[in-house]
Parts: sequence; C-alpha cells; structure tokens
Amino acid sequence: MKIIFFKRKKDQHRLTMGLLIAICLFSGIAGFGIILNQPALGWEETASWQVKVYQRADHMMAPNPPWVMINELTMNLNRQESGDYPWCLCVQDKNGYELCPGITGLLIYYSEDLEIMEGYGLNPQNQKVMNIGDFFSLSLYGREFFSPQRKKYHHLIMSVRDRVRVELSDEKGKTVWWEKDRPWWVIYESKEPPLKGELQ
Amino acid sequence: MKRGFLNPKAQVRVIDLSPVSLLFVFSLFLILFTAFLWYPSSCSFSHAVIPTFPELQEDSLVYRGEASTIPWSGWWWPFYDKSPPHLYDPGGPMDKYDRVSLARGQPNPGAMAWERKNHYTDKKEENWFGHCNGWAAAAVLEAKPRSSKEVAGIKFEINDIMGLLSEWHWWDAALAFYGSRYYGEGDNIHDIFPHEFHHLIINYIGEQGLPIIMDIRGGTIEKEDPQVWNYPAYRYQLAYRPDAEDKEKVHVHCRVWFSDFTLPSSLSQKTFTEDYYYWIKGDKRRPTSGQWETAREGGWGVSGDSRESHPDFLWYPQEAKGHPILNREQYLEIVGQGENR
Repeated sequence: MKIIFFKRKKDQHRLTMGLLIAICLFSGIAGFGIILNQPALGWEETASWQVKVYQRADHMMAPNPPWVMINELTMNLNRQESGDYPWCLCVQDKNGYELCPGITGLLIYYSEDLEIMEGYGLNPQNQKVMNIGDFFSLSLYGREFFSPQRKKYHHLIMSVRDRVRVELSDEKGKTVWWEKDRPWWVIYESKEPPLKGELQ
Repeated sequence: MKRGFLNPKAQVRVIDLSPVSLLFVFSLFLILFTAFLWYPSSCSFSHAVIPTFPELQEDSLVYRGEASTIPWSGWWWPFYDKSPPHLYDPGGPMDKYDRVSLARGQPNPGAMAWERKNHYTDKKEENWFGHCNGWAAAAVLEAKPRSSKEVAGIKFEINDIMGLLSEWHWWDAALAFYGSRYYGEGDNIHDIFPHEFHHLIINYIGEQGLPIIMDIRGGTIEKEDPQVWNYPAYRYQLAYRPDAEDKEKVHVHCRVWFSDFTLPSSLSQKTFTEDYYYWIKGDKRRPTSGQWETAREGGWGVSGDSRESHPDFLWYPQEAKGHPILNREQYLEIVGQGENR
C-alpha cells in the first residue's frame, strides 16, 4: 500500500518550510524562556536570611504525628577577601537552640561556583568541634539543605513562572523551590527525614 | 601455717645473713634494677614477653560504651482508658496542675479536660498510644525528680512531676532522627540499617556519652501492626566474628541496655537488654554496609532473629518550646528549675 502525504510538490515544500520555521520559532522562544527562568547562578552580595524548619514528629507514640518546629535558622552570608574560599555562610538558631546534639552553629565555606568546600560545627563556646561532613551525616540537615542548587528541573509550564523546582535527591524526596530574585531557596522539602524549610 | 614463721628467734636467724648471702641479694637487686632501667627502651622485649591486645587498646569503643547518665525509669501514661494510670485521671498530674491555678484564684486552665480530649482513647486497637516518647525524652534531658513538692498548697508527688515532664516532652522535636518510621506497605521494613545503627550507638553512647532513644519495634514483626515503642538506650557491648567465606564481612552480636517503664507506684529503676545480630562491612567504627540476620547465621547461637525484630529508628530529643495547654512558668514552678534538674 502506498501512502501519499502531499498531493502536489509545490504544497509539500511550502508546508515543510512552514513547519520548520514554526519549530525553530517555538524552540527559540521556549529556550529563551528557560534561560530566563534559570535560578540565579551566583551570590552577588553579602546577605542574611531566616529559615523556619519543621519536622514531622515520627517519633511520637501516635498514628498521625503533627509537624513541629525544630529550628529558626539565621543564615549570614559573607564575601571573604582573604582565606581559601570566597564565600562563608554562618548558621545559628535564632534562639540559640542546638542544630544537632552539642552543635549550636555552623561555618560553611563555598567555592566561587557555590560548591561546599569545607565547614565546621561549633559548640556553644564557638569552638570547632565537628567536621561539616560528620554534621551532614549525623544531623537532620543533609548537604542538600545548605547547597544553593544541584540539579535544575525544568518544565515547559514553568517557563512562564518565576519559581523553579530543583530536585536535590530523587531517592530521599529532597526538593527545593527556587525564586530568581532570592539569594536562597524559598521552600525546602525532604521526605527522608520528613522536614520542611521555609524562607521568611 | 608454719609455727616457726611467727617465732621471734626464727626471724632473727633470717636477718642474720652471711656475707655470701648479702652479696647474692645485692647482685639480684642490681640485675633487677638494670632490667628496670633497660625495659622502656626495649620494645622487642616487651612485645615478646608481654601479650598485648592492640585492637582493644586502640579503640575500645568498638567493643563497649556507656552514657555518662542513665535515664530514669518512668511510666508511659497510656491514652487507653483501660490501662491506668492516666495523665487525665482525677487526682492525677493534670488535675493537680489545674488546682494550682484555682488555688491562686485564677481561672481553670482546663489541663485535665484537654488531656482527656486529646490524649484519650477507648478503642482497643489504639491501646498502644501513649507518652513513651515524652517519658523517654524527659528521662534523657531531665534529671530524675527526687522529692515531692508543694505548690500553692497542692502536693505533687514524684510521679506527678514525672507525669508533667512526660506530657511537656511529648511535644519535643527530634533534634536528630535516624532511619525512617515504618507506617506500612511501601516503607522499607529493614530500615534502620545495621551499619547506621552500629555507627550511631558508638557515636552517641560511646564517643559523646549521650543516651539515645530507640523505637525498638522494627523489623518484620510490625508488618501487620506498625507501632512505636520508645526506650532510651544507655549502654552497649559488641562482639565480632569474621565471616568464613567473605573476608570483608564481619558478623556482629550487639547487646544494648535500655531504661524501662516502671509503674508510678514503685518508681524503681528498671532496665532490660536487647540482643541484635547483623553483619557489617568496612571500618568497625563507621561501617559502610550491613544487613540484619539471625543469631544462627552469625554463629552466635540458635535463638534470636534481628530481621524479625530490630530498632525502627533512633532519635535524640530537643525540649519543646511550648505546650498547647500548659503554661511554661507554672510548669517549671512545679517540675522545678534547678532542684530537679
């Protein structure tokens, strides 16, 4: 059986060209939209922000445990003129509560491309008592919580929105919502451990 | 006993040594003294003669550890109306809390009514609901109440104070939480994994000297009926056995000591132990993989199956910042700020 798509040669060329132009235009617009909606790639200035962190209280002896607030984190970002790494993030609970047993503060150093390079957990006397890697493995807060971005996740619908959803860990259900004009993510969600962070 | 030993004359004979004997004693002393001076610089001598246990000397925490404080035993204050005593009982801790306000001419805060409304059940299938997380958190964070107390003419017995502590700490968050709670199908029933568990007990109990709370009802035992039973663990002991076939694999027998519930009428310290069996790979302090197994598989005996029963999750509490009904000042006035902690 022979299938005929176009009856006349002249129409065939015209339609093909039209289709090609349409595809090019659509791709261009979509690509432009996606580029515009990329999360900010860098920190441009010193900043300070607060994050409220909630936890589903799975340890409770009840079938539907409530969400309880665990920390109100104050994060101070500083550009370092000297030192090995250009950015330093200082993290503390607003009320002085612990972030992990024995740890009341964090110092995290980032490279120019915002990768975590080094860091320490601080005790109430501001002494460095824990390596940041140990803190990530022992605390509720994984490395992703303090990483500005890891993997960009785009959807065509998002090309017209300002928020971008970034998946940090498929396995543990860790995601953040990112806004273009913010220096940090606005919502952090984690299935394991069940945690929510909200930028104030 | 020889009679001559106590004879004064016999003692005189021993002291009265000949020059040859004196020379012998002096030579012996000289040899021993020389050996003593030489000993520290002679490693080969010490290793050859004195048996050493390098693993134990290097890192005893991979064998045993104990927290600096032992959490106190207390009651878990069930919600179920057929398992008394409850926090909502007339004459119980919440009722006495209300009476303090009334004695001061203040309106009734309604703590007992709130407890009855929110922490009550008459359903048999909910008979495990209660305050074990509150008691466990209080037992870890607060010193044991040691004496009764009178506030506004209302006498709070030790168990009343423990009850209020358990209610307040019921709202504690988990400052650290390891593993994930098993709610039912779709969740991993083998979690928490034994290499994580192994690392955590060494880190918390051994290195930091902190007790850590465990939901001990994990494993296939809770497949049909997921429940939560929290107990604070304060001591562990570990034994290792290399695998016959896999050189990287080490079988572990872990014994953990827990503080137990005790009825308010007795208030005596009670403890129990649980044995866990698993294998791990990697460093003994920080293993990289592992799996729960039976005692038989590990070569430890015939009874015991940690696939069936092992901790579901581990956590460390952070004191609640508030309570839906209890006023922090009045609560602290009763439970004590200083004298009981």
